[in-house]
Amino acid sequence: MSVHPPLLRSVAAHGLPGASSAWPELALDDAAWHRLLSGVRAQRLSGLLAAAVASGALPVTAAQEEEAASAHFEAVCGNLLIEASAVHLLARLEEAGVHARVLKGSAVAHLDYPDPSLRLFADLDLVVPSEQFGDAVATLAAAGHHRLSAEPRPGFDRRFSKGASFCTDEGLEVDLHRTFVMGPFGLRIRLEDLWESCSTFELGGRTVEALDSEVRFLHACFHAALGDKVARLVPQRDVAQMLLSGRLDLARVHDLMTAWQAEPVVARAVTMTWSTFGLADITALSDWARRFRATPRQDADLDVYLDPEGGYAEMSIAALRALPSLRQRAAFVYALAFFARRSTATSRWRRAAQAARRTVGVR
Amino acid sequence: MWRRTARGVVLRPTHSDTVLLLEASARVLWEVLERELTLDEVVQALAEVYDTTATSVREDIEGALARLEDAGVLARVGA
Repeated sequence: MSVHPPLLRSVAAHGLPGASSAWPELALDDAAWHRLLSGVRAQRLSGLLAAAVASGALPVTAAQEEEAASAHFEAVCGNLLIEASAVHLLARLEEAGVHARVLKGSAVAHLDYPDPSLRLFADLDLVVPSEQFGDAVATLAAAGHHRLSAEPRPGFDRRFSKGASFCTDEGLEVDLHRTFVMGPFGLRIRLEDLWESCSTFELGGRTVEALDSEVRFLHACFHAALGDKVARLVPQRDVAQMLLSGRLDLARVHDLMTAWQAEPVVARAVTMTWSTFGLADITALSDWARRFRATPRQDADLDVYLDPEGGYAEMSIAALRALPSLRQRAAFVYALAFFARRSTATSRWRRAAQAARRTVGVR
Repeated sequence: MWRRTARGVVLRPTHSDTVLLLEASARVLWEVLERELTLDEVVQALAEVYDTTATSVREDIEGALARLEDAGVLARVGA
């Protein structure tokens, strides 16, 4: 059962065929409206809220209508800033010979929604081939992006990590990916499948590449099923949006998820989405997902992502099991051990520095 | 780059930090420009939307197109 309030789920499902909705008959009182607006902002649903208000599905007062429009306007301005940065960054990466694709956010907004203003995002997510990850990191650094956490050991990123996060002085966040998630399910993805074909869309007069439809759908499933301990609503909306479009090649989806051993991920994403939005339409994949039963081993791998007490150590141990060769496992363990020693040294230095600052402050 | 909102169409030129908000008839003009059209076709389309003559809207449209071109969000193509 979803932890999100019914009205917030109705906003997230607005416009989906067959979704059950819990719209009120009259405008909400102030307290209920501000609870809804707070949830909408936190879940980045102001585009769908504006659409629900415009369609008359959600009755509002004049003041509420203005607040909904204001929230959407602010979010849209932020998204256009991100897209302007994306255009510049993709040009820099291309100049550096790096093959980059927009992973989600802007790509999903333009390719999978009837109007991109419905699908909002907070940062720029790019995916690059593993062998070009180092060049991409160097290009981002040269373009003024600061890496938020250091690479555990030279070569770790392109072999084992999900990717790296960067930030500009202006606060724009860029997530550079080589795979979808860390841990066992991320390591089993056949990364060459991400580059087999692509979709394209126009951004600022430039044609940019995104993952193809089926791979984009699988990414949405990974994001919805494993991205957060409490599943967010936008990734679930993405899953429903893509699956209900009827444009996916389901045979290819099946082949890819089997090759990646990602059946538990897809089943969880689809069943959770169907339950969250109360979707009545049954598709071949939603029917398969409902009947799917994970093995104990698959359940254990899912728990690594979903256990509220789980952390980096549990993820690393599970990732170790997913690595196919002894040599890779040895390299992974060595890199993590090295990382652990360096992290401890860094945190000790930080504590000392903070103590010094406190002393200066007292004087 | 642009988006539709309840307040109007929000535009952001790629090479500028400016954000433009197109409201009312400017918004309708932008929607019409989704297709590649000649000036006469744009004038005719807007005149039909507002149920008036081409002559009465032509000057306003030429001014609006010039401003959008100056802002770098619209490009004149062909002769």
